[in-house]
Amino acid sequence: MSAEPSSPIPEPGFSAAAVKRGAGWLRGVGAEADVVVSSRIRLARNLSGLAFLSRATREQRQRVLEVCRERLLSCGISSQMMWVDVHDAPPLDRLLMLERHLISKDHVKGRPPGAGTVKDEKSAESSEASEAGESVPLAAGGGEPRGVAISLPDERVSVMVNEEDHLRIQVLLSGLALEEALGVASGVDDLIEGPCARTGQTLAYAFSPRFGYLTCCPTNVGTGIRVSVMLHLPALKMTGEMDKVRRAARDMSLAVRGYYGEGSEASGEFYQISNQTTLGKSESVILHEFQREIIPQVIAYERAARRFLLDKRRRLLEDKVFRALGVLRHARLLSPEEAITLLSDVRLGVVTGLVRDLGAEDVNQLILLTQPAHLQRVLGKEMDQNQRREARADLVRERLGVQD
Amino acid sequence: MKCDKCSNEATVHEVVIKGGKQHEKHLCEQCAKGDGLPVQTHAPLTSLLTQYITQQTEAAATAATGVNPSAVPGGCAECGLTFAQFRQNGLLGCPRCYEVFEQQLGPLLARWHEGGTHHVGKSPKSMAGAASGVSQATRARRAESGSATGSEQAADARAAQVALLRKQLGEAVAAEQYEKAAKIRDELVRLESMSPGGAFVSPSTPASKDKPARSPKRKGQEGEA
Repeated sequence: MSAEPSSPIPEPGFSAAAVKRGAGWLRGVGAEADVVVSSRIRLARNLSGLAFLSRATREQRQRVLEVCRERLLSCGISSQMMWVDVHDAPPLDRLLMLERHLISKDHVKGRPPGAGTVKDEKSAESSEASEAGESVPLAAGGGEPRGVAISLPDERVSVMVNEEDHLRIQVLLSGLALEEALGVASGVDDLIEGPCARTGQTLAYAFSPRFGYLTCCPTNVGTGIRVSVMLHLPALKMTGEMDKVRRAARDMSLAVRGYYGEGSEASGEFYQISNQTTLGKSESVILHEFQREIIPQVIAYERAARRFLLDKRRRLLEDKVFRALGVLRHARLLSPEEAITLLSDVRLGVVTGLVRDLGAEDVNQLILLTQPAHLQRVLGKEMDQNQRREARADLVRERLGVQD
Repeated sequence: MKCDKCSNEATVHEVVIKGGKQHEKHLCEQCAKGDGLPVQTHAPLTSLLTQYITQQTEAAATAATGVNPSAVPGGCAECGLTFAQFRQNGLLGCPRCYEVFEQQLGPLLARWHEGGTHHVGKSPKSMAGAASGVSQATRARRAESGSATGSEQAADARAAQVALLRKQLGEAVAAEQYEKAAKIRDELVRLESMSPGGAFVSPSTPASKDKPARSPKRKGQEGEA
């Protein structure tokens, strides 16, 4: 069979306007948006009767890809779906989707699960990642057959095919909106399973009554769900209380990760917190424990730290915020890591009311647009690292309304 | 976090509880060595996982069957994966592997999932009503060995009751009826401790409780297995 995409929308699906508009989950709206940047639900699913990707042959992967692509584009997830054959996509497009959190780092790289010592290399990479985003190595060739379906224009739903599992359904929303995200994800799950409205066909998932949805890695088995939120916790970092949050999270069997999820370091004090347990608790129990008991505490803790800084360490807080704003307004060269760190400080100024002429959304979008692939797409040209540092500083000055 | 003794980043953390008081130490690797604390070299996650799986499953399976699984040749009939290969990278090969390695996986899953050993929650529409405490593998084995014996019937009844209790437990927790949930949990523990073959593991033992009070840890080892 041909590997040519049968997609109704040709690549690249991201128009320059869409890239500039930024991603929906960064709109800075929704509940608790001063602390909670985004909410994400991921469901892991595999097709019944087929090997998991750890042992699938290239032909089997190709078959999974074709079956799933056909299904994802026809089952009515959204009025408009974009399909990308990730293995055929230009490196810049893959990176662009990573920066928009539509696909994972592993999906960008395209190594089959379990190939080599993936986890070791991952930790080595993140320690090298002095320049977040620029350190993601792109496979020279396209890698194993894999793809992603993305709902347009909102990009709320993305379904990765042939990541660690055959299907990884993801819903990403702005602010704290886990219940809504779970509702959407579960609906998409039902649509993929079928029966298809047009053909009446169903897709059989690998499932056992004892173990639930069967996944390649048994740490995901059962519900196959990962519930996560991205939190901005700059005040806790300043007051030295982040380690307490990390320890508390670990005691509650939660994972704390960086801006790009698994295997990434925190940049700009953005942290992803997610559940680890997937077996023995239902989706709604997992979600409610997370949303009612854990996250409100972390939010309250960060807000208390912000109030403490405003009341008792105001000069220190002001210095951090306005120093960052000063550098961003006048720098002529900016690395991505420096940009996100400074923008994080400015965001702290915005949410504490110290900075009044900017909104959280402006800052969120700048964080996205200053990342390597977005920067190149916004400016419409490929640039090397040094050129990007110049262009990044210019873009930030322009967006912050500096005319010099 | 800075080392208590010098300005290096603290990577070894020790909590000692002595006479009801908690003492914390945060040291860098050199100072920890100087203090005589055991310092693990940075073991990669995969080797930690492998080590852990080896210890856990061999102990459990040896206890259950008297046979060390690593000594048993052959693997999954469907995809050919052996348990030794699973121990290498922590990934299974196909849906069938869950049945083939059911016994070895049981204790591991309980550790990874806060004591969870059985699925609770959504099931595919095609499987509606199929959720029960008895796995298809168990049923198949019973079918192969002829008609169920009296003890197997009792086991089936118990499994059905366990499934029902689990459902009630989930509902009680969702409704925040914690006293009720605790009672159901105790009943579940009692029922499951009666189960043969060691396939069930008590869900009331959180992983943290059986850790020693003194547990030096390195940063950066948390994360997904």
